[in-house]
Amino acid sequence: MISVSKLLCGLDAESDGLRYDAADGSEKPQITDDKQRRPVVVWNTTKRCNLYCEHCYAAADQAGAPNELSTAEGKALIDDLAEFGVPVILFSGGEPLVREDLPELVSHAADAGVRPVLSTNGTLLTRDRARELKEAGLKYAGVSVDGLPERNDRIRGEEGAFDAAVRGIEACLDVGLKTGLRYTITEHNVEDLAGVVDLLVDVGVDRFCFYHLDYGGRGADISDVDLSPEATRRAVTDLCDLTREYHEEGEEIETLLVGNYADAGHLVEYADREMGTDRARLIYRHLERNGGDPTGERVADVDPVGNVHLTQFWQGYSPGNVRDRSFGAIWSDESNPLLSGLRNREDRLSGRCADCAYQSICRGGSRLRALAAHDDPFAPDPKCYLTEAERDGNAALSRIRGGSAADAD
Amino acid sequence: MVEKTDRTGGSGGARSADGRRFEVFVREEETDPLRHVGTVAAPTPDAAHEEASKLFAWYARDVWVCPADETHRYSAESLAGDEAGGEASADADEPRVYKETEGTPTVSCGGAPAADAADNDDAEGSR
Repeated sequence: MISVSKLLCGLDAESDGLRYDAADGSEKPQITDDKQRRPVVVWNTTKRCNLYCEHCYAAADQAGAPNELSTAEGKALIDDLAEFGVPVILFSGGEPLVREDLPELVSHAADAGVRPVLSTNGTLLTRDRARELKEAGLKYAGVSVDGLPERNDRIRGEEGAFDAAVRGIEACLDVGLKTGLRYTITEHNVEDLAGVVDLLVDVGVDRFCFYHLDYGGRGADISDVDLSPEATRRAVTDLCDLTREYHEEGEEIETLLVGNYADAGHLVEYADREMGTDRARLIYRHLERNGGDPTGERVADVDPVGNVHLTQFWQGYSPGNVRDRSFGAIWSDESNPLLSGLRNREDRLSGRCADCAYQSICRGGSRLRALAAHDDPFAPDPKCYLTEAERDGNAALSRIRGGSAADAD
Repeated sequence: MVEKTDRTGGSGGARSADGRRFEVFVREEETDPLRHVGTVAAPTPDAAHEEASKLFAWYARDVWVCPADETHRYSAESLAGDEAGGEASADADEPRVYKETEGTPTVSCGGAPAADAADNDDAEGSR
């Protein structure tokens, strides 16, 4: 996750401690350095969902999965995560609000010292449910909207889904729950991106989280409508411009990018071009501390039946199940050759990722997309959109380092 | 007398949220032990081998796959003890039965019945 607004506009953000070293001088609470060494855990509490979205990585449906973790097992999992030092649990799905015990689980996480946050389609969020979740200790709700009404409803498989999601967002804001947008960018909705931001700023949303498509679940089925590298570059550039325009007008919106660490290199290049080399150097240093793609390190997933995954999008492989041994034991077991390989991926990345000048802030981007495109988890990410000169270090990096690319590192 | 480990088979039941999964075992060199490295989602053993090969081909000499739902697991621990729910809980309280004969415990088969693989195939999504 990369905070465009922080890097380009210097915005403080409550969760920056998870993405960077605790932000110096931030007046808002920061999560300690110590806890940042543990992953944020996405828990797909159920596979059931009242919508049927074309890009759903969890392949959610109305039937759900047999043998989903019970309330007691969920609480035991949360205790397990707390003991391991996990800083944040993201309750996700399916649609987590179809679980009646969600407030009980949120409360258990808050009491255990694991910050509870929510990912939802928003359509089941009434003011009463939002208030109940806030009182249980929920800190943030991310609501998925993937376009203006017509496109969103087509993508989400339900007429009226857009209006229902906006009502859900308003319900959260009404009860004082911090709420943001989650938007997965594809060819189907890239044209609506700026319009959705404009519309939801008016509603009161100030946090916008944009996801690149990853090729897991039904997301793999629509990889043909993923943006081309050129279109991705334009969309991210537009988002940078949009963020800066809002800030120049005094609207301190927070914009984040998830799922493609080519964005890190692109932000450095953008800043060098638009804001100067000093700003680009500062951004580069922040991103070095950020650590690049977090797969198998700073993000983890537990699916509805307890399988642990290396990111929420990579459901096809699991190094273990929390019904068999603790999350911490699974996550710490580097006898697993894939887990240890990902944590030392610099030694294994191949092709253009192997000697990319931006490797230290990108780390090869999505290993899942590499696997989907090349049958090799250490092959290049097909969604890298940096130019050859940028990857060679002959563009912004040569100026940041005050010399040639040969000075790198 | 050394107290023997009390294991139950309570962690059985379906192990996939989407289609079939296979437990994967790999061996790096001929003289190495077979090592469990997790599970992959796949509709058939051959597809599971193919998926596992993509992830471990750079590493393993041997790759074995076993249907996750047909694996009976016995453990001294469970995620939520006696409070475990779902299908797993159906047998969680079943006592372990063993006879102290020549020292090797005989463990009861307390795992929940393996889910019908055909049903899982029908439930399979995009994978």
